[in-house]
Amino acid sequence: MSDNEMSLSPEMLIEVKNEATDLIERLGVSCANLHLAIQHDVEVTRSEVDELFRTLHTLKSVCQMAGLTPLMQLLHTGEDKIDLVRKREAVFTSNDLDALSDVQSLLERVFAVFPKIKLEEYSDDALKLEKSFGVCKETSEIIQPDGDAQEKWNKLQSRSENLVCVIFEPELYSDLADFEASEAFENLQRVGEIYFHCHSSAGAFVVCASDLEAEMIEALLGKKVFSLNKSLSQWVELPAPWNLIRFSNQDSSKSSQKYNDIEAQKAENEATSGQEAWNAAVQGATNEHDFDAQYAMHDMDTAGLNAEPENEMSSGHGDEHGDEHDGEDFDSVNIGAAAPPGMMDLDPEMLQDFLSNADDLLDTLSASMLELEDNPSKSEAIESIFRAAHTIKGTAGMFGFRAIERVTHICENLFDRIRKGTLSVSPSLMDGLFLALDKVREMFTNLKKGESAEIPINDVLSLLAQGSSGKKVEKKSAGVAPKTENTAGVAPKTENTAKPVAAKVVNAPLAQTTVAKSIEPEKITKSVVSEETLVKNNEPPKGKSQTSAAPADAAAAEVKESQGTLKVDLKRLDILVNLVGELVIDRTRFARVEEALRSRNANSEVCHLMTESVLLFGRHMNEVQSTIMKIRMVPVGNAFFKFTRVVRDLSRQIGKEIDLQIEGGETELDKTLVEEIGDPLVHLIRNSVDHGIEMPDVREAAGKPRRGTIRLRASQDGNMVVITVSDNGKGLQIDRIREKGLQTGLIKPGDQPTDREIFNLIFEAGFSTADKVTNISGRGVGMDVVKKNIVKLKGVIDLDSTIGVGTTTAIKLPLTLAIIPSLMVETSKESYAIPLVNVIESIRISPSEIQKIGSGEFVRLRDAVLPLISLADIFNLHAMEDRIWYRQSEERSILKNSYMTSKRHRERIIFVVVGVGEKRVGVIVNQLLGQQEIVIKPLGQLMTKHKGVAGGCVLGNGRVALVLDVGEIIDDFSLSKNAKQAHLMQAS
Amino acid sequence: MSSANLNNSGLDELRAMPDQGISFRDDENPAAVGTHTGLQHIGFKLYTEEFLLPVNQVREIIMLPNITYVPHSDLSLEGIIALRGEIMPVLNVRRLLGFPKGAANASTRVIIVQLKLGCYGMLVDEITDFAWLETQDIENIAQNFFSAEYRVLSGVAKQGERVRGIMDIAKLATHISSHQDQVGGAA
Repeated sequence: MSDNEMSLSPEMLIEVKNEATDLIERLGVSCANLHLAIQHDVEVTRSEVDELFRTLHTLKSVCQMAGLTPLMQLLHTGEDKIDLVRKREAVFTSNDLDALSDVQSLLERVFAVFPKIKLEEYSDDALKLEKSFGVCKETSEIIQPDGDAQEKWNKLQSRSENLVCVIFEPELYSDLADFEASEAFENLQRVGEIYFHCHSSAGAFVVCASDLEAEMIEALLGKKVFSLNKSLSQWVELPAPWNLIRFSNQDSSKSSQKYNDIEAQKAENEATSGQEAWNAAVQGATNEHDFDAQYAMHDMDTAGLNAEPENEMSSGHGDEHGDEHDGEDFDSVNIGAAAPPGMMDLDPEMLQDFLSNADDLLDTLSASMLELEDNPSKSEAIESIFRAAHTIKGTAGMFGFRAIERVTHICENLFDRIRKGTLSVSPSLMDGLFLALDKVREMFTNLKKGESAEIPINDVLSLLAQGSSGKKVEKKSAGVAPKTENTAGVAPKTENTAKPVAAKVVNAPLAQTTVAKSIEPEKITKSVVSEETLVKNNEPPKGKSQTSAAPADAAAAEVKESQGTLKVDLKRLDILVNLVGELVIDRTRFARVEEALRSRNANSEVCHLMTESVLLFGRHMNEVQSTIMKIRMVPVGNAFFKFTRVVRDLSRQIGKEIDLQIEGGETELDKTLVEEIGDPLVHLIRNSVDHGIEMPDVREAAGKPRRGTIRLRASQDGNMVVITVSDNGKGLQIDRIREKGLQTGLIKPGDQPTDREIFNLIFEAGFSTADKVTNISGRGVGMDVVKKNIVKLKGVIDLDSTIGVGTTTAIKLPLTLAIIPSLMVETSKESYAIPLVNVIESIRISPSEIQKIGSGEFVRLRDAVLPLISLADIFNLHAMEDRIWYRQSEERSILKNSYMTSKRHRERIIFVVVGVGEKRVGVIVNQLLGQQEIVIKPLGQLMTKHKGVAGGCVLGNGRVALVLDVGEIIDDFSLSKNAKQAHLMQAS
Repeated sequence: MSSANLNNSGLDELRAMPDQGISFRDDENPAAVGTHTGLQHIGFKLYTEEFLLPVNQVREIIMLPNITYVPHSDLSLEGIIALRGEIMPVLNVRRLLGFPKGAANASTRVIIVQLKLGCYGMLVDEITDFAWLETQDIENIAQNFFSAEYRVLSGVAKQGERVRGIMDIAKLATHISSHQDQVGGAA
């Protein structure tokens, strides 16, 4: 297809990728919702299905744009399936949901690496998935009922025999003749009348009417027999690919409309059934039901897009079909209709996105069309027009703006024909196109004002039909005569001028054309060339030329009420966040200078000014910081939705009935955190499914509802976000954990650990009470990894459980990773930062309070005994003197409190109580330097990970301070003690 | 086909976005630097010995900053510094080569060199000169003629009377991350 060769600019690729990512996310949400519906046995709501359909449709367009043909086909198949669902032809089963979820994962995978994706990496999966939708890809292989069978079918409607169908495996019969000669076929002929039979690579298929019951035939043939009723609705329940076979049920025109789109598709491949399909499609198109009309249109769209250039006949058919709509009175149908489906659940942000995109697209369209009129053979202009029109159509369709979709769709068809050279650019055609463009613009303006987009468009439609009619005779399509009134040549314009409104609008763009051409012809050319950079982006000259080219835009811009949105590269945002981090450091530095100034010369005017500026700077800095941080925040729910699938798959696998309740998905968390939190949560949820929730029978026996519930809840608590995973299962068996703890030596004999301490043992590496390892969990690795991950994210994890009631795991995370509040401490003249999350308190004691037990030092803190360790021991700072050769000649410290340190140090010991989870350790430091907001930075790629060091931060004085990794320090507590001993031995 | 190419260039462009404003002078092309041919080298002194470093690998030369000690690190590592917000390790090559302990003075400098993986600094006692070296000025001497700690040289330059070792910054960089665990454990 020609679109494949379309070379997209890098900007466009990124845009495509972004859009796809959004859509995939939305697909995920849809899946989660559908899953909820299926789980509770509620019928899937119409708006849900519509939303899903729109998402799939747009995704399809995106994939097409990206040249991912197999994915496009896959999505097309999925779309077909959902279309059947929305028309109540099929039930949305959990299998479909599985397939859909798989599609989502596949897309996620593909677009994660897009555009560096190779075809072979995903095409197999795409094909496999396509089959799983229950709609076969090789539709051409299935022989559709011909006229004869159709006739018989119609007769059958009035008869009373049972209708059955039988499917034979492909390996049974080699071809149709073989099948017809077979015993089974003969038997069938004996017991009933065969209406239709066919043979394809998927096997042999026969439909027959008989007086016998289905069971009898089954016994006779030894094959599974499907009993069909005559209302057609059961056809879709047949296994793939046979559910694609369609009779157009002419006795009931209602059913036939329902199938018109499928028929139309078949028409592409199936010349023999072309006539029926055509009839059905026409019937559907002329039907005054807006819904069918809309989706007949959609189908035409896909037919047009799928059409290979060499397959001129089929594409001709599609176009013909599309044109056929022109004769239809669209307005009376459309405007008369109530609010379009999906209108009420429009996301205002998405709409805003769409509108701002549409402005750019329309600008591109008009610029390119001017270009095209000047130079009809200019292929890049046509390409860009085609793309812009297609994008507008796709999104408009997604939002349910039928009039816009309609007009752009017809334009797109025309452009497609121009592109393929089957239609030449004539003035009347261009008139029609410009009028269409203006109409679309008008509709967008209305939308921005918050009015309905549905305005009368019949005049445009008729004008377009005339404009395009000139070349229509060139096209020979399957047995369908083009509209007879069309003559070769230029269509008369009289009809337009008769309509004053239309004439006025037609003139406007023409005038605009001349103006624009006379002023800046080369700039317009430029804008055409660079049209691919349409969304957001730089060059102001381009924007300027376009404003002059399209005065209508200025008006539109004035009407525009809200600011619109802007997609920003995450990298730029990261740079910004980093810069803000630097500024925060600068602020600290300023504050220090100000402090020093004040201590020396408190009353000078300069000092007052300085104080004032520093205060103001600080306040603004805070605002900048919080705003920047807000940009990075995304709803944590984005990570949650995939869990519905996880729970469902797992619970089905082990035969449990489990609901997943998600609460607080709108709680916002830093984007990187949201991405990172997924894995630990999966572990926790798997644990709940496997160990927490009991089997249904066990639950019932215990007086609980059969269905277990897992609650996933997120909420904000100060500057932390708390995510809890709780289940109402059997709870942790504290005795078994204690026993296991004793066995593995994690609990020393004689220890009296609290229940909490015992529960938290399960976070230890290799700790598992499971008797046997299942494929879901039990190796004792999961919880260990969970804890490591959470600690890595500067979070804390806590677990509580009650036997028979359930287990709750709470994860506390900082809102953001970029800037963390820390306690600055000093030891051996080196500064260190301890993340405030881990700091419980800081305490000053006299040396006599330290109790020595062996080489260990402890202190009684209220009613607990706290192990103490000196920071100098942890980091072996005693060796530092020898190690640092190059020290700057004594720093001119502006810290006034630094000279008071040594004295106080002698009589008092300061320690900071740090903790992760339930574990507490006192870290002895020389002095506390106060709280500071720091930006954690990696120590550089060249440096490998150092134990106990989470990273570095740049202080106000330009020095680097190491940030302590409290979790590791506690874990490696014993190691540090050894280091101390070694040092002591060395010293003695 | 063409679309695939464009795809790549799109991502490359993305990658090439300024990250923290590092600029790196590329002097590899001799024609661009005046009448000299060959490659310019920076000469520096460690203890009493002189060494060379190709100038195209050097990002900048800075005065001695405050160096932060990194516990449990390799002996060759002096510590880390922050250069305009970026944290990087600083190597004490003098210690690496087994020279006696030195101390900071007015001529102490840190040469910041750039590797693909990142930047690091080299403490030197003095910057001596800038020298142009032709290919024939550089000789490769088999590594086994050097003592173990000297195997960070990529070659030896002979210019007139002087013979100077040319540092290999990639080989030096391996010291930053090596042996740490041993050292940490032994301490």
